[in-house]
Amino acid sequence: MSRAPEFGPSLDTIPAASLTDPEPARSILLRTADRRAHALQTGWGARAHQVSCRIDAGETLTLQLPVPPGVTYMRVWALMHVIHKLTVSSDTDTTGIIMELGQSVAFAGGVEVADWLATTTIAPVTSGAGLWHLQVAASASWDWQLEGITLVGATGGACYGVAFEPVHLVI
Amino acid sequence: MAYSPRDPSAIVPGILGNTGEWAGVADNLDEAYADYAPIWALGLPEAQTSSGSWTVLARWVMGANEDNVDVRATLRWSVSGGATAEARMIVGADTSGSISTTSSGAVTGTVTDTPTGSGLRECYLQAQISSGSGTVTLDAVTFDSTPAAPAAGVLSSGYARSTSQWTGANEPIPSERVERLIEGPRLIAHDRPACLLTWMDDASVTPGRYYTSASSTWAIVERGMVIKPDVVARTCRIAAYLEGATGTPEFMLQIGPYVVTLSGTGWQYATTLIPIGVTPVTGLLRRSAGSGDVMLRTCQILREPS
Repeated sequence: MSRAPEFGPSLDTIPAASLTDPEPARSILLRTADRRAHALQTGWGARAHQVSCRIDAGETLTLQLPVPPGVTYMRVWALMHVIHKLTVSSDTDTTGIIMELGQSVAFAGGVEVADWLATTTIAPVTSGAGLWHLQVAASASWDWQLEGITLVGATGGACYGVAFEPVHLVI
Repeated sequence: MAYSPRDPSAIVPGILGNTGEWAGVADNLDEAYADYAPIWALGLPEAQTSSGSWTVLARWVMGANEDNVDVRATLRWSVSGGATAEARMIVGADTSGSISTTSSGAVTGTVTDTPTGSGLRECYLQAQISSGSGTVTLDAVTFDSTPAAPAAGVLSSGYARSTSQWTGANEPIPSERVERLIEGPRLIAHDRPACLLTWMDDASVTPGRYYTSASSTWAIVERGMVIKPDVVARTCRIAAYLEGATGTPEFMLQIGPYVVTLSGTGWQYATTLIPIGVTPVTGLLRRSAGSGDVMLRTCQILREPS
């Protein structure tokens, strides 16, 4: 069944439900329960995570990234310094994406003057260079899965942080 | 069986209590309980040790988990020199079993634990060289949970399984069962607060690899961002582990318009509002008293209501 993700309500900050007994039978009760469970499994329950790092030119780091239910793409954010180039790939997309900061001026300082780059659009089926979202699953699953991610730095400068934001689609 | 989205248009006024939609929603909730496993911590510390005794390489905290669902740390690690390295995880008062590797290239290892106790628990990962001579390197650690189907009865989190077996045709459904259905997602979310940001340094070296200051003047040690944490501005918990052998560390976290300052050694906590949208985060460190280096080992922002 195709269904859009739910991003609210803010599940852990809403007040506790309290029903009277007897409670008039209303379909909104069942609808509320269903909507909240779907929010937990989709938009509200799976948010972005930002992690610090220090990836210099020529350095490779790997990690295992939890992929939420219903998600096949992640928007990737990278905090880049000077002329750094970062290749981000996954077990699903082994070619990956290349994030490159065109800034060639060697500013003084490091993380203080770094800039954020982010991917902007859904990748085509065949990936390659460009700011496409990273594919992290071949197809949507309704379980949480671990996906291997590889980060490779090049061309001077450094990457000081990356973030992975699940892209929630109607599936 | 996994969670399976329901068709919202099937839930209509006049729906009977013995239709499959009720059972489907109840089953889905239990599936969500057995599956919901957001990131609790994810660090890239690039931590190293050559020690033959257990050495702390990475620190983090686990919020809530009053139900004590199983947890795991998934490592990317390696060891040089043909040595054998071991790793284990400590969650609160519990120590996991250990795993080992002899691989010189980064491989995946998983340590698991069934926590005990309650409340916020401090966690850390230890490693050692158990055989030969070499250096173990921890590239990354991902900490999350591996929950199972909910047990019967009311759990410590308040979650109660709502059986999918309702009453006979046209019989009333007890309000308590309906309340369990509505409350379930809130209670699961409350008990497994997602982590929005993790800054993690090598916990074994002095001075730290990245986040160290020997100055009494504020210096930026890291920048980051919180990305769309919720649909409303909300409170979150800030957890920071600070060290200084002869100096007092002071750590300032600027999250958009909000500023949190933490001082002292060990784990320090605070709560703050966090806006919706994409919010830049800046971490600053200084030595407020004493002498020598002060270090930030870990900083986490947890989506945990106060």
